[in-house]
Amino acid sequence: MSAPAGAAIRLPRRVRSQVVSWVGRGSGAFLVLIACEIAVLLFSRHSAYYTSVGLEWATFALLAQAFNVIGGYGGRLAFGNVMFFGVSSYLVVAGAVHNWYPELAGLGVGAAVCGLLAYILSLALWRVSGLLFALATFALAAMLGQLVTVFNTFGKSSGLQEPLAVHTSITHLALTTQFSYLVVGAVLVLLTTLATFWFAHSTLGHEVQAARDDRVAAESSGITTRHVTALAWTISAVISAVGGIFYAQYNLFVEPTSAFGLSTITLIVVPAILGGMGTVWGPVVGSIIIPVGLLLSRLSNGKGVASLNLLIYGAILIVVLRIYPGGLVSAYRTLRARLRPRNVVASSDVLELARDRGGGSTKLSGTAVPAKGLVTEARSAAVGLESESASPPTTGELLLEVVDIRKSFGGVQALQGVTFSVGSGEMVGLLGPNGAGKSTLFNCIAGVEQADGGDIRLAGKSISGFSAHQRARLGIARTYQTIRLFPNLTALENVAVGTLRRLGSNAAEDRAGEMLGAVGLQAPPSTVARSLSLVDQRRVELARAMVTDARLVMLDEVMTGLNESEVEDMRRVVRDLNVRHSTTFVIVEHVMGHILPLISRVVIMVQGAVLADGDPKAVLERNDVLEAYFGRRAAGTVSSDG
Amino acid sequence: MHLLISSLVAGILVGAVYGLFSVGLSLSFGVLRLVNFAHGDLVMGGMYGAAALIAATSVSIYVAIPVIALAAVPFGLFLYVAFFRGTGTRDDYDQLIISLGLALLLETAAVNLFGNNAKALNPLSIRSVTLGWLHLAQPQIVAFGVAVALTVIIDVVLRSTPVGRAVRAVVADREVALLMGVNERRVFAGAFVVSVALAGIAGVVLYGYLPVTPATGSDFILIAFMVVVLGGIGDIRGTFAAGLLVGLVENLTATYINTSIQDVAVYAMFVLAIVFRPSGLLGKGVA
Repeated sequence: MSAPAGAAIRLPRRVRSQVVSWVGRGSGAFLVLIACEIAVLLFSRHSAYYTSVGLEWATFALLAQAFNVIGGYGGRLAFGNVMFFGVSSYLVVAGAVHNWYPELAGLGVGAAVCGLLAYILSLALWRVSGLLFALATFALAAMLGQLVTVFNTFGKSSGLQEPLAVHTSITHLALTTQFSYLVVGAVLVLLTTLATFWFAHSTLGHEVQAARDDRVAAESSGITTRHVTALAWTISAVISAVGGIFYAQYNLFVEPTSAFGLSTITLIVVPAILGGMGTVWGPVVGSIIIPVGLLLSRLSNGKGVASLNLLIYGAILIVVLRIYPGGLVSAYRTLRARLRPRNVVASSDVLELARDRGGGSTKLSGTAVPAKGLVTEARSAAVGLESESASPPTTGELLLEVVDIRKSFGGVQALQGVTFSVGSGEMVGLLGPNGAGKSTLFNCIAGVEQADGGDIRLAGKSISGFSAHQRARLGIARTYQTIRLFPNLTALENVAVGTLRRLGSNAAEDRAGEMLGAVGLQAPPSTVARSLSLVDQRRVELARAMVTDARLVMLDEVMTGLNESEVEDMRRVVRDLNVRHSTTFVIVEHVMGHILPLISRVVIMVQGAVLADGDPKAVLERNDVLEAYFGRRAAGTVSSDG
Repeated sequence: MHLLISSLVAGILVGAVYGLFSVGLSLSFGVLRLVNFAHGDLVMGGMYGAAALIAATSVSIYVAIPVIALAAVPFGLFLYVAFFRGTGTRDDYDQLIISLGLALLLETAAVNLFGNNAKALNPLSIRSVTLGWLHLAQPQIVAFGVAVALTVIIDVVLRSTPVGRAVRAVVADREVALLMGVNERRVFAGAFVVSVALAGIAGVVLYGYLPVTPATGSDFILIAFMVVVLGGIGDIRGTFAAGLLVGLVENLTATYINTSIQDVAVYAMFVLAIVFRPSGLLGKGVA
């Protein structure tokens, strides 16, 4: 699900200023929610009917939010998420009916079972693509629904009935009036929204969204995508479990079709879509449709359209997705942004700016303020290091050894025994015609692909068995031929997201700001990545690679699409990074002239093997190299000025 | 022994029809990347269409087949234009959810037009055919025959005609096919209309021996999804074979273990297939 346009995400801050930023920014909406809930409670206090409507609202607000966590933030549309609702409600009711354990323990059991189940399923289904994943979870839910009808313990197809509570009891999660359950429900909705808010702004939330936007890039930034997404589903499952137990206790009855069936799935999906997936408030706002549907159904009872609520739900899904897929929350944000005149800082943004250290602050908040201070400082420092003649900081040790790497895809032998090595601090060019296997080699070194044979060593130790994110942690980073930024995160967030966990949010943010300055980012760092110009996007990718303290950075055609002055700038930046951080670079480039001034050595690859390896001038005068590039006839006549 | 054989036969007969409507879904998934949640309801629509036609004109069910097939063309075209045109380029979940909305609309229409009670052909009018000790309902045999015939036709069209080649190109690699000049609108609309027609026809032949209610759609959709995935998306023969497999597993489990378990076995097979062989258990589809 593509995240809505307005979803600029804030990086986490220190706890104190986090509370402060909550007070400044999010609290308005929370106060509105609390006010609405109080209104609902007052309104329903003496009406059994409105109380029951309210109870259903609360249940589905919870379930929709749970769906949003895995579907919207995690990017995995778990159509069968209802299974956690069903499993937990059955576990609680069965536990009560058969005296296995009191309901309070049932809450623990339900949450634990669902959380564990979600984590395991997430790992098992990790390689399954999005649409098939949706179907697989749907089938699982149907399967569980059928499974329940087999066993007498679970009441077969008639369901299970829990006895009505005689008095209030914590151990039995029992309250004497339906209205009391509604109060609990309202509190649960509030807590769930707070939890989602925390999640969205946390390191985990950022990593999950990065994994959603671009799994490969996230892995290469050092994020354990499989694990974080599984955690997101665990959180979602636990919220669903709470919803299931809440439902079981006020309804006192569970049966297969409402616990696992398509009708319940519909009631989960519609509020989430209507409100907007991938936002904190979407499911809560969208949940208004539940009481609306119920009330309209009741009004038209007997006369007019039967199943009016189904008609409305269907119409909403279609209309929202055809017209504005981001849902109500996203539409509201877009509207607000359009109405606000440009270049005016929102008042809550001013508050945050004022609270931070004055002058030259690196803290970036709000969407309209360009960053000053550190970024321009770093930029002017970088300019001072204009050194065409600075000697590369090589230490003579070998950093990267590629030994006889072989890789084939089906019948195509992409790499046929590639061998070369790169010394620490060196800048090596990797050249060759199209299809030579350069990007494949990069993928094998980065761990995105596993080589079929051969070995890769980093500082003498073999890393062939390591995954992409492990190699990222060991110091290998890369940029991509076609940009792979996280499109919905800002430039700063793109650079920082891989280091949030390791450094903590403030340090990560500071380093990201510094690195963006070092690479010469022109646009404000708070610009959303997909709005950046091409050269700025390449700079952000470079910064993202550098910020992980990479020892080896592989640049895959980083100059493609840039004009002459941008190429020169990029060359200067790379050279400075090499000198200042002793970073080793392996650079793939098509236009030789772009990188020849930069590199001390060139490796020519042709058809999956190394053809030549050595001093650029010498290599590029060789006939076999010229033949590979220009063909036999030209080889004898063309000079070696790249 | 007799039990085994009659189970196998029953499984194959119904499996063929599963294969038929799943072939339609496979086309829409393969060509438009559309996971059509409304497909089961389209089968249901075929059943209701046959019911209405027979109630109004007292024709035999075999006449209903071409009538529904013809009616499916403008209806399918309308559905495509109203709901799915233009969404097919996005590789995300929007289409899936729009189709869920459509399924809800169709179900509402069914409830309002036909009520909640089951509609069925007069069971006394169903003739049976006897082969030795095997008793089969004639409509089941007809259903099988129609399913096989249509699947063969579709398979031949896809393999040997220019239109079929265009469709297969789009299934294999949509972007390149479009760059090569395949007319996107026609292929998409055409594939969708065919999938609607196949669903409708399957509904008609099923109505020969099954009752229909507004909930029938949701019963079929899961089966259709599973058959498509098991058979390999876009692989017609694989999908048909998977339909047979599902029919067999369903019947054998019902006969030898438990009727309630029959669906569980099929769902479990499906989930395992997705995890271990997402490109299809039996065919070579595009995952």
